[in-house]
Amino acid sequence: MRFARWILLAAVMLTVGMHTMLQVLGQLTSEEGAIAFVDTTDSSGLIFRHQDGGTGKRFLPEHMGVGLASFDADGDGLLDIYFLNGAILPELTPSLELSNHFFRNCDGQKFVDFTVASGLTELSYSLGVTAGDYDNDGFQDLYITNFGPNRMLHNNGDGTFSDITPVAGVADGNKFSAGATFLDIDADGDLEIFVGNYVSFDFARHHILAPAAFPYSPGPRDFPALADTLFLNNGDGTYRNISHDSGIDSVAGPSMGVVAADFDVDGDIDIFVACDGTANLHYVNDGTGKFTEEGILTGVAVDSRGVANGSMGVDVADINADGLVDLFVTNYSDQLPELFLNQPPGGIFEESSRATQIGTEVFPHVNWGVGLVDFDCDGDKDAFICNGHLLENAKEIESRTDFGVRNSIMENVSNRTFRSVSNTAGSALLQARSSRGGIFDDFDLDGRIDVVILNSDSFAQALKNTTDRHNNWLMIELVGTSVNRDAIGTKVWLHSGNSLQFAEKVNGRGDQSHYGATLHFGLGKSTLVDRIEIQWPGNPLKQILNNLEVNQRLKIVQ
Amino acid sequence: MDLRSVRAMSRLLKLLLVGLGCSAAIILVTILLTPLPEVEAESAVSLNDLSVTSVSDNAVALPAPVAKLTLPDVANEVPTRQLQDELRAAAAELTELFPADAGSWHIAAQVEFELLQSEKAEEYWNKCLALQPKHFGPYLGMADLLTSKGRFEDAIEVLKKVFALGGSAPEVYLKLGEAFENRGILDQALETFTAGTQAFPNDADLLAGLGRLQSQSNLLPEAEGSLKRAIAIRGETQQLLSSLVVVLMRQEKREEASTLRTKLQQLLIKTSSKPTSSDSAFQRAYDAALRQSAYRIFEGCGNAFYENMRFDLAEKYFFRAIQQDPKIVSGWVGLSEVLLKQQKYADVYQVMKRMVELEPSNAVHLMNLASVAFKLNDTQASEAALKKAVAVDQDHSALAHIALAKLYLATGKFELAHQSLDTVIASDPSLELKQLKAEVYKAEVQSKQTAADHNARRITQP
Repeated sequence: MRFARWILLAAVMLTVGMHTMLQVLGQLTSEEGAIAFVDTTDSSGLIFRHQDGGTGKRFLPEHMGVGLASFDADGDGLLDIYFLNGAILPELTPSLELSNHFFRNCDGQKFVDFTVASGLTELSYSLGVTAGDYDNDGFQDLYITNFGPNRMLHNNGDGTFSDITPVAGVADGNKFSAGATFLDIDADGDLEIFVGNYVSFDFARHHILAPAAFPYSPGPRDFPALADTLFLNNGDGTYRNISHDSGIDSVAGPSMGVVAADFDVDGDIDIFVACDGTANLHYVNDGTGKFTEEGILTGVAVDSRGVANGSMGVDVADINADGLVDLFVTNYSDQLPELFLNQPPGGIFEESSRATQIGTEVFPHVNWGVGLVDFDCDGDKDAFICNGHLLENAKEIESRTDFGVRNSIMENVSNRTFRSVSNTAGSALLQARSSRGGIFDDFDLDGRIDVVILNSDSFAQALKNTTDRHNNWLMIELVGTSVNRDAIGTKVWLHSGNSLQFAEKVNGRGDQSHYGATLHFGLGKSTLVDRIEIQWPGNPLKQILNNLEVNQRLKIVQ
Repeated sequence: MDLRSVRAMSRLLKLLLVGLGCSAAIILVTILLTPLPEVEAESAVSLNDLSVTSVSDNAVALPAPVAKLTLPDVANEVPTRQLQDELRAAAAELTELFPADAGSWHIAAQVEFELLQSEKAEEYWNKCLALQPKHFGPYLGMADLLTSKGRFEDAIEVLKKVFALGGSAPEVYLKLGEAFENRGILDQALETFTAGTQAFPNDADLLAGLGRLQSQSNLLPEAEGSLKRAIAIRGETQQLLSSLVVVLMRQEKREEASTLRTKLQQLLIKTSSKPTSSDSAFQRAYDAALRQSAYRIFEGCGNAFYENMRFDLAEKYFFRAIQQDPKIVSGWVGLSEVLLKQQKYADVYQVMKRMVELEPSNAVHLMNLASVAFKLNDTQASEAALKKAVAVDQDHSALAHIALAKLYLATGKFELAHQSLDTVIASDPSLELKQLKAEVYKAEVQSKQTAADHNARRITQP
């Protein structure tokens, strides 16, 4: 084994031409049951090249995070993928070459570009995306945030989409938006839309500031921050902007990644917003759809040193198996990503990044996308972190990092600390790119969570999870009837042997991305799930299922 | 920058430089009239260190000196790129002229670390430690570097060496505690912070770290106590307030937490203020941080050249330091000392006047100013400064009284000399002071005798 590792290290020094050899060696290094990935970009057909539309002038939109989404567009049980793309700056000239791209999952192995046929061509400068069934018709619709008016695309149910933005009234003006999430703020069974807005960027001001900007280009603090937006679903295919009435516009920050969950366990859905260089925002729901921003009181506004970091992406999961969803936030270089552990009884967080070691490896880098998922099916959530500086000449400015660096996988050991397995997870993890958004789902239906990454100004990557099948798993698809059909906000407790796992169905997460339509539970060696408890939004009673077989995909209808 | 910040910076500088033996930055200019030991303003001074100086010793006939330096009033904000180049050039000048001096490499490493060139920084600190492995300043720098690269285990090992060398400053406990915390070894982190606060009970940074660790260890009442003690010492900083709010909320003390939340919000708004139409907030923040570091590095260069007896270059870099921020007093102190070494008394006088302007209640600055004024034969200015020193600082009033007595003795104002000495002797009837009083009596008698002889000669020799 040691010899194999030595070969691997030597091989790292070789050129891209040794790619195949690296794949083999990467697999050789994996310990039994250790997390491993293989790059299947070419074989999967997921050939997508992101372009930031930059002209070397370093406009702020070029440096933003960029998302992607996994969702089942055609209801065939396979997750399809929607990649976002830039546009030519500063004119924002429409160009088919720079359109967003939609790839249909054909058989779990192959993807085919169906962008034009499906009507998912989007020529705006796109930054964030989320998928949700806003009209409860059983088909996933898309909401896309842009540098410019946002877009909502209705899934017609026949594999095509229609632009319903003007009818729905959700363009949100002509802003610079970032993350977005569908959520049901009042548990009335339909989905609202929360949009994180960044800053009021304008090219003229950039040109004034740029000549004196060294070594960094003008940043978010050079432009006024925008308040976020909340659209209320009227239930008739239209939305109403309730940002003011709901209290959402009471504050403004350069918002990026967003996620919504019941952090304080009071039965309604709250919102967390990662802000770039200012205090993060935590909107606490009073149960009626009115929100109060309480990030400082709940301990998620700043890190444990009182610093408001350049926060980018965010994900939620129960990291320490205490039945509460925790928050993990990615940050700028030289800023440790923040793991905010939700403290019992819920709603107050303790920043525990150092104690858990979750961000140790990525400290020198700018981090963006993030996924808290159980890659090795051992019953706890690991972390995948997408890295890469926003400047092409980053190495000259900050020698510890670069525009292209490797992504990281941190394995959760004993629900308390993390360790890096990036070097042993296969050659796919040895490639240096400047990654932004990542999505984490089981694309090939083998019970293991795969990864697809959008790389800035480069080709996307598909990483197939090839971890040994020593551990068991269970996947749960939730279908709401009286609640929203996507079951967003539904909580699930899974009892298996002596272990108890908790998950909450969330929407719109990571680096302005969307994934996780199906809940995934690693079960380790357990051969039986003793009990599943499901609590649908707005309902204190739990639905219970006993004695379930492992290694299956379970569809549970409310 | 307030005095507290100046002192904090001074402490940091001391920590970084003491290990190398570069003491210039913390030595106040030795008063000419009454030589002082190497003390900081707040330190106590033993009367044993005083010596009587006669007029003839000090009143060297000087040509009418003219100050040549034009002292800066406001920060000289050179372009960022130019400042970065200048820092690199300063480090290169040091290492080229004094490659065998560990201090040169220590500063060069600090420059590279500041400019985020970690490989070079590590190389230079390694050179520094190879030349001088027994001073702990470079170890602390190296630990910071290793931490920034995520090499926490290595940082812990480096910091353990500092303890092995006998380093026990608060910063050493702080960095080691944080290194354990970074490594996820919370029990040892807590242990280190506890030991640190026992050794340095009034160090706010250690108390903040202790509070943070206690909070993570669910020792909430203890955490609240530590953080409140830190606030009592340091004031309500972002770090302390944010930590305390969480600790209070976790104990369901929402009302108290809400009050602090409002204060924290105000601090956060200050640090993330909205940009103006004409200014670049992002660049401004970057430049401000760089200038602060540049100040420290230029001052370090000044100290290093001073130690190597290159007073011309030391002067150049102390001057660059005060150009970066003329409101920080330590740079002025360094400049005054190096000017003194070059006997540029008129310039020293101007520099010391600035020090007094910056810290008008600092009796040591006033006494030093008096000393130089005396050197320049301006006894009136000297007397005025000493009188002010008596008035502004009770802790140093005795010393100022003695200096005044010596001034009066030197200028033949024996009655005033007696009065000044009597004031001190009333509370400190030490032998040294009584001897000084005897000197005054003796000089008084001699003066009268001289006058009598002069009169006699005038009468007998018309």
